[in-house]
Amino acid sequence: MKRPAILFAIGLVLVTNAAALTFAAYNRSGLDSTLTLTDRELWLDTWNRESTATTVHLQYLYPVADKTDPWWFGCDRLIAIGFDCSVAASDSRAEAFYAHQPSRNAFVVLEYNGPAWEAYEREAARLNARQVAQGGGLNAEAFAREMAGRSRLIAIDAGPDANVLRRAYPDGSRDLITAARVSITRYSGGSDHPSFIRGNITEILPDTFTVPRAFAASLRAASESATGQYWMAGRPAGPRYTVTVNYGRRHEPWVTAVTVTP
Amino acid sequence: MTTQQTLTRDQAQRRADRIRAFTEEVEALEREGILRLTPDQQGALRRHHQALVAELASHFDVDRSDAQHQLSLGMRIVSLLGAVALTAAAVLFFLRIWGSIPTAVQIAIVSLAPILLLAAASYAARLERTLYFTYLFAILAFACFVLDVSVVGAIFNMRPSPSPLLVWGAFALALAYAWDLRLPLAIGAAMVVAWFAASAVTMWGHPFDVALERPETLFVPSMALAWFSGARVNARRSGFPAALRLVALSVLFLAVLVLGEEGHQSYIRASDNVIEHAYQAIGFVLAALAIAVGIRRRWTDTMNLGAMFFGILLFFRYVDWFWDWIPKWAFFLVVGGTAVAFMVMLRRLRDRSPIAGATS
Repeated sequence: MKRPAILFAIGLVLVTNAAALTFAAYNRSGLDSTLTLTDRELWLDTWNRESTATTVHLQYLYPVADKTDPWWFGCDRLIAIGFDCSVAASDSRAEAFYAHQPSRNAFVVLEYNGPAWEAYEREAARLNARQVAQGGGLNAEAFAREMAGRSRLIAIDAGPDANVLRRAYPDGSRDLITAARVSITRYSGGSDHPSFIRGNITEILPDTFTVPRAFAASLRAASESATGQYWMAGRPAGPRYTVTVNYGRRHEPWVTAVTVTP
Repeated sequence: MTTQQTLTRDQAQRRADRIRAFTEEVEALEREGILRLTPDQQGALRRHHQALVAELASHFDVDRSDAQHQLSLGMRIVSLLGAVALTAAAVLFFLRIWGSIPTAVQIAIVSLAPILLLAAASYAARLERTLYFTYLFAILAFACFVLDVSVVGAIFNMRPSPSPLLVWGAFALALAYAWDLRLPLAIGAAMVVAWFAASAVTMWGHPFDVALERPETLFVPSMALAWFSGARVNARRSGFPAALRLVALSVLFLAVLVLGEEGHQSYIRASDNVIEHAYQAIGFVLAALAIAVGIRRRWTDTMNLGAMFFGILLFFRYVDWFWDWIPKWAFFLVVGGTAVAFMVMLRRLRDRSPIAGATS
């Protein structure tokens, strides 16, 4: 038993690594989307003293906090993903029924700096103006700085099949399709709106990318040198860095370029 | 003496221990005047036992005294601590250097490390019969394989998947069966059980960690593992059946315990109260069954685990029933009284259990 077991273990290491490299090569053999994102969409992870790996974290918006309706993520898309929407939102059993359903795998479409972002900006400006009129809110400069720090990746669609989504959103330079974990929630009604069911994007998979060694040092230097300026003088006018990210056949990303703003 | 070739090390050690105890008992009986052996009989017995122990020591490196036994126990503990420390050192060292080495070198290091450590474990196994260093290298090889798969996944930004659990589990099991190592066996078995549950939820369209929210996915693989513990391939390896049973039953009991407290995590569409009460009842039945089977088959591990699970279940029920209703001192008095009642019951069971060699 000894020799076969040892040979099996060695073979397992070799086969596992070969399989992983094959999957990676397959992913990179075809391009699904290419985006050049800025420090607003890709935050550099805090440098762990025990690790010299450089990773960035994808930031996106799913601006539903103030919405009292399903927006685009209603039962039609939830059913397609595999959730059960058979109980009406107003039913007394709805709360427990929807809370019982675990999250599911899906693909989501993140639109970059497009109509969804413009609509978000307008809505944010309208809400801020209303708050200012009521004595609160941010002044123009603070509001501009706030918006300049927000990611321009907005979630605009979701579904079980990435190919179907790509056919609906063919522009790979603006619409990123990535795997995600989504959940279903029932929201109680208020005086001005009924109860409703809406999907939520719990996690983008993966939402953290390893930055290749060739770009890591310049990225870290750009992030560290700008940090002090940000806290002293407010956010700089332009991005500190841009990162070009490709998504391949398996919808897994890799970084191909990093440009640091001097 | 060819029968020694069919013994495991544990069996050989028990034989050596019996010989030592027998020799001490014969000396005590002779001092008390109960037993009188002729010089020829004493000599023959002594020569036979000396040759037997020498052969056992030669083949299995058994402990021949209490002092050696204590040292062996110390070596087992130290080898485990050493394996854990070296694993931490290897992982942290790699994390410290990987940002400064090219991707191809990173992959080469992490993929070669487990293979080199396997080779080291094989070499150590040829040199020592007690396998302490083999054990250390085997644990380190497993840890490096976990690092290997994790690092390659991180380099290429791969989506999470349950597949690594299967390959890690298979690797650990291979190490276990190569050198009869129980800790890799337990780790490998637990990982395969986890992979099974994670794969089931993935097939149903959920992220694989949803298996943690649905303990029922662990029922089938844990029961399959309990059944596998009795397979012939395990029976001839010392400690393997018990280790596999422990993993299987621990997973099963934990799943039932969680469902007994968190009914909303069940797949069953019923009220949380009904589900929790049902699983609490099932838990008590399973615990009693484990105790009964453990006593009947002389599986001390199963009996002890069943008793511990029973105790935990009962404690949780006491908290539910009494914590808010009686003073805290009275609560702990009830718990202590229950423990004493159990002690009396177990003592009666012990007194009634048959004694080896006793006549009626």
